Amino acid sequence: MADKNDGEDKDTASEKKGVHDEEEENITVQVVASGALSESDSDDGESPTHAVIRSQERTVSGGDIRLSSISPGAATPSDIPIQGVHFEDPERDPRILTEEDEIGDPATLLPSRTRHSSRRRRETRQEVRDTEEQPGPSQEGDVEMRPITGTFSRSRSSRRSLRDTLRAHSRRSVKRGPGESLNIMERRTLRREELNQMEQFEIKSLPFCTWLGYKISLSVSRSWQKFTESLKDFRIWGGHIREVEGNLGSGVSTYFRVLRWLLMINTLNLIVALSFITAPGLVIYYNHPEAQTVNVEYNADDKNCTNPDFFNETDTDYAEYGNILFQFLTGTGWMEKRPLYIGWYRSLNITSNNIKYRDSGCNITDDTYRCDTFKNALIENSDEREYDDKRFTNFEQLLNNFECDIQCPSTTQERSCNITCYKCGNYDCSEVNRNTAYYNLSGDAGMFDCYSPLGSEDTWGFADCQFPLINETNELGLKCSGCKREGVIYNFALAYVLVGLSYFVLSLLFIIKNMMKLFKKSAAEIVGYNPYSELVFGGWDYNIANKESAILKSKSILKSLKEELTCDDQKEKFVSTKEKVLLFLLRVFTNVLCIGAMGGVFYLYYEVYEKKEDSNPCSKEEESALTKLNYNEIIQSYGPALIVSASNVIFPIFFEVVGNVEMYQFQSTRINVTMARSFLMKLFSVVAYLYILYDTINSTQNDEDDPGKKVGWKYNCWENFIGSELYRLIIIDFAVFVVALLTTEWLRRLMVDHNRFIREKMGITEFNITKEVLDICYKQMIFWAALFFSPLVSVVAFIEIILMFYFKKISALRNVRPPEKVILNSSSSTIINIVFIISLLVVFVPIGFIIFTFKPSDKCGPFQNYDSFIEPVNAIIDKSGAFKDIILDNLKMTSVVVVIVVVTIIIIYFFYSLSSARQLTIQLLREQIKSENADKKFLIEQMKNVRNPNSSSSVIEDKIPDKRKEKKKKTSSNVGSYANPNLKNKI
Amino acid sequence: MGQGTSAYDQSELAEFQDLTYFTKREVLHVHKRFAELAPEKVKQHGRNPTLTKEEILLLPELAANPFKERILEVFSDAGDGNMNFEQFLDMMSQLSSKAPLETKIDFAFKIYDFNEDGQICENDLQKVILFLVQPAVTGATLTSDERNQVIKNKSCRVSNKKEETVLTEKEISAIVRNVINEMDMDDDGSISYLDFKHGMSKLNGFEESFKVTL
Repeated sequence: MADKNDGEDKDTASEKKGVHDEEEENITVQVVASGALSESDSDDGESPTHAVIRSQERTVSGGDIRLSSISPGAATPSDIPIQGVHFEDPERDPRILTEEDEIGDPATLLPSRTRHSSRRRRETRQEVRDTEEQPGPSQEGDVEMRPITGTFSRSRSSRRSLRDTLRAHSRRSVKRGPGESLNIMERRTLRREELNQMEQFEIKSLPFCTWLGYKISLSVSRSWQKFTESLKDFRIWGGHIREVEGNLGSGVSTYFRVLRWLLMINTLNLIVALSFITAPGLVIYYNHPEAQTVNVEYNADDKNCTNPDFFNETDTDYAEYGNILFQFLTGTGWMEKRPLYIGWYRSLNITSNNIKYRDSGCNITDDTYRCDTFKNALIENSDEREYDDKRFTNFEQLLNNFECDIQCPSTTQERSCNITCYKCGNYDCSEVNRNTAYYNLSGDAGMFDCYSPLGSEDTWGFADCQFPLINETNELGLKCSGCKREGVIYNFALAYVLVGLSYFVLSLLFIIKNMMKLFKKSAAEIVGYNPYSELVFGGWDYNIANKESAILKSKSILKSLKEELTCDDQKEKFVSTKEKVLLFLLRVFTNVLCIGAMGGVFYLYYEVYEKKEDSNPCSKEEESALTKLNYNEIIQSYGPALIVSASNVIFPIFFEVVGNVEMYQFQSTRINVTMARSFLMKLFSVVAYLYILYDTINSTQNDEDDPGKKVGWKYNCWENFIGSELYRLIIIDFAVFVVALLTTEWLRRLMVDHNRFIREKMGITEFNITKEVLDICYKQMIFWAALFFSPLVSVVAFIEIILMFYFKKISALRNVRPPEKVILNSSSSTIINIVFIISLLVVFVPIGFIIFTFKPSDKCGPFQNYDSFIEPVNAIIDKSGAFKDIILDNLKMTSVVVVIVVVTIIIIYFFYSLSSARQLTIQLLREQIKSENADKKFLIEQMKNVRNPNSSSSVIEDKIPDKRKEKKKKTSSNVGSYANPNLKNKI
Repeated sequence: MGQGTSAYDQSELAEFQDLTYFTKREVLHVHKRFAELAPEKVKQHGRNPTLTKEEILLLPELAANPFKERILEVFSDAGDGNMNFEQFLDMMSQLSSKAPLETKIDFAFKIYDFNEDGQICENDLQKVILFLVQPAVTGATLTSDERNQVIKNKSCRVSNKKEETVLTEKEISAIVRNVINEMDMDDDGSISYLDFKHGMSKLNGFEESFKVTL
């Protein structure tokens, strides 16, 4: 495409201008060869001539360069108006220059090129005279600014289509394009000119329809722009983050950015949870009182008292405020009867006494629950059913076979009765619930409506049914007619499990999206670390708006520079074998120590849990059920969570100490090792906690008693149990966070303020970004783990993050100093993203395992009738025929997990390879620059030798003086002028 | 908007919006900040008064920056650091977080190119380093005269400081050498615009740290 393009460019241009020299070709080739510029934008509505002209104009107009693709043979030179079409040398556009120069422009210094360029310049001058509308006073002879103005003036004389102008405008070429190199006044003039021009176009010469079309598209694009811009204006916490940035530098603000980012993830989770779980849950709860009774029942008949959390349900407990608070904090008692946990939610098909029907041995497996087939089930398939051989002599009998309950008030004249029928669906007995039926015993057909939340399916059936009905074979039956599926039943179990999975998927997508952005932005980030230039050119944080921070920042730069210098020295330092061995042993020892410590903590968790188990809550019932707060109990219920949280505070400190002992050569290695250890520790503690919970609920006793049972759970509602344990962990964790904040930051600050010794020895706390970020990562892991078991944790998470943000911010502005060495700066968000992805996956493995393989408890929650949490999904897949045979077997259970993980890995890998591919390109281009520069030098040297064999002036000197003269013209507030100083000399 | 609306009407705002990276609201905010710097002047000269360098440097967002004079010099038309509102707006727009990386690199290059010869040479680099460490060594952000003094003494040494807190001349030249080693692609001993652009585009966190938000 590019070849074609430049060929045509050349042709048309040379014919127009009558220029046929080789240099022309040279230049044109270069424009297109700069690759990035050419972009196919075929415009079918235009004549070929226009296309050609436009392609040239675009080349010149810089910022929004789009070389249009021209179909072969499209250019018909004779059509092209000579007047006003000038071939523009791309060199004069600063933007193109920079693009071009990226791959080096050796030709700029060639003598032939010089000649050529000067010719170009003459032409430019000519153009200046031709077109009067040169904005700004400093236009004359200023080559840098010409191309842009040229574009617009030419667009008037040439038959540039209005659409282009409009498009160019909607893309805001003035702003985004080469306008950058003009100062604001000049840009304004350009803009006004362009607008004027557009108006002229609009008034003149256009058919009304086209004009209208343009107008509409313009206004649409404008309002869209407005909308996106107003979105940009709205950035939560922007001011706060800026404040932190100004005071503590962008490093610390990273922490707050991560918090904001987590807030977004959790808001997403919150929205999903509230709208798809809690809101429908409440609707079901209030619309179906029978569900409510069950809700209480499942605890009431909990005679064995195996669940330690259900011991204090009696209403009298609520009266105790202390108790209420206690229960709120531990997430037990009345909290369990609130939508906080999974156990509170019901699926619609659950009734108080459905257990009875489960045991009655129904196992009809086809789709008999729909009303139309319902009829068939009785009449046509009658021989296969248990009621076949029976003659229904009376109505009661019929209904009995359908497991219907009839309640008829004997005195009612019109004999209205309530009929409730049950029959078997796919999985279980489900209910066909009839409101009121009218019938008379004489056998006349009665009509009644039935509405049926049929089984676990997704339809509501409404039916007018007639009964009793006697068919040809004199069977008595129930005939439903006019059955239609109306509305959509909310399949709560399905929604629940999908939402449960979507927390992970949404978060993952969110993180990946973020990573994509980063990968795109900094393809070369991973390779090529230039510590010195990073410190010198990127070291200063322009956000800093505070003197103390400025001094600290400067100190940190100074320190880092020194460190780099000493590092360089040390690289050559020889380390003896003995030292090496000693160091190795030391590090082996410290690593063993770390692992041992983690193991120790795990053991501690376990012990505490055992203790908790031992204290049987059943005995508490006699103790007037917690009328007083039992501190022992508080400790017991909080013990494990407290240990987990505390170990998460203590261990990073411990690792830091260990890291100091290990004598790492570079500070950055030490920090990285410490960070990696803390991260592993956090992952480990979450997984260990989940494992212990699993261990607690998974009792083998039940299995021994009843070997036939699939899985025995110790708790009637183990989901609630896990949910409440995790909820408690969240609460405790937050408490620990607050305490740590108060002591390590506020208290230390107070001590520093009042005690000179401490001030000099310790100073105020340094904000350890890595530690803090890992800390919130850990918190987020618990949120993720808890979400499935208690949907309202999303609310807790939402509130907690907001509180954390403000607590941390207030404390950060008062009590901490910025870190001396920023390891995690804002652009290492790639690392942060990876950390979060790993955490997400690590949490997902156990939770996914639970969702896909565990048997839900039978006494509570929307899944009590299912064999696994994923079963509603499987049921849907079963039902939809398309999937049924092909993928059904492959798409179930664990394979889903595998698929998700694999897809994620593929996506990440894709972006990673993309970035490495770019690095390869960069490498190549770099090589090219080098070789071309060598060429350049050689040629210049040659040239000089030819001109003046005696002088030996260096290359650099040659460039500078002219450049300075140029600079004196103050009009060049122009970036482009830097782009290629060589070129300017030659012009 | 209140005050803002009276300062600029919608069409003018739209114009600014087209010309800068700001939205209308942000333009008004910048104007507010600008007006706060010298309220009397703004009252006297209408809405586009020229403020002196010193007045603009009152802005806390700039005051702490060691390169503050350089930034203003680069952006004022006359090169003396005085600027009117439009120039100020232009400057803030290019320093804002919305400005593309390239713009920022251009800007940074101009700032660091002290002698304005289109190359960042060793002298420029020395100055950059001295500017950077100067607040740490002297414990304050200095005025330009004081800074010039510091730069004259090159080592940036303040007598009573420990060796650790200063850079010796030798160290500075080592750093300069290293930076040039890292950035100089064409081996001409100084960092050209291209070298700079290439080096900066892959620099960690430059885009984040090179921005001033009002």
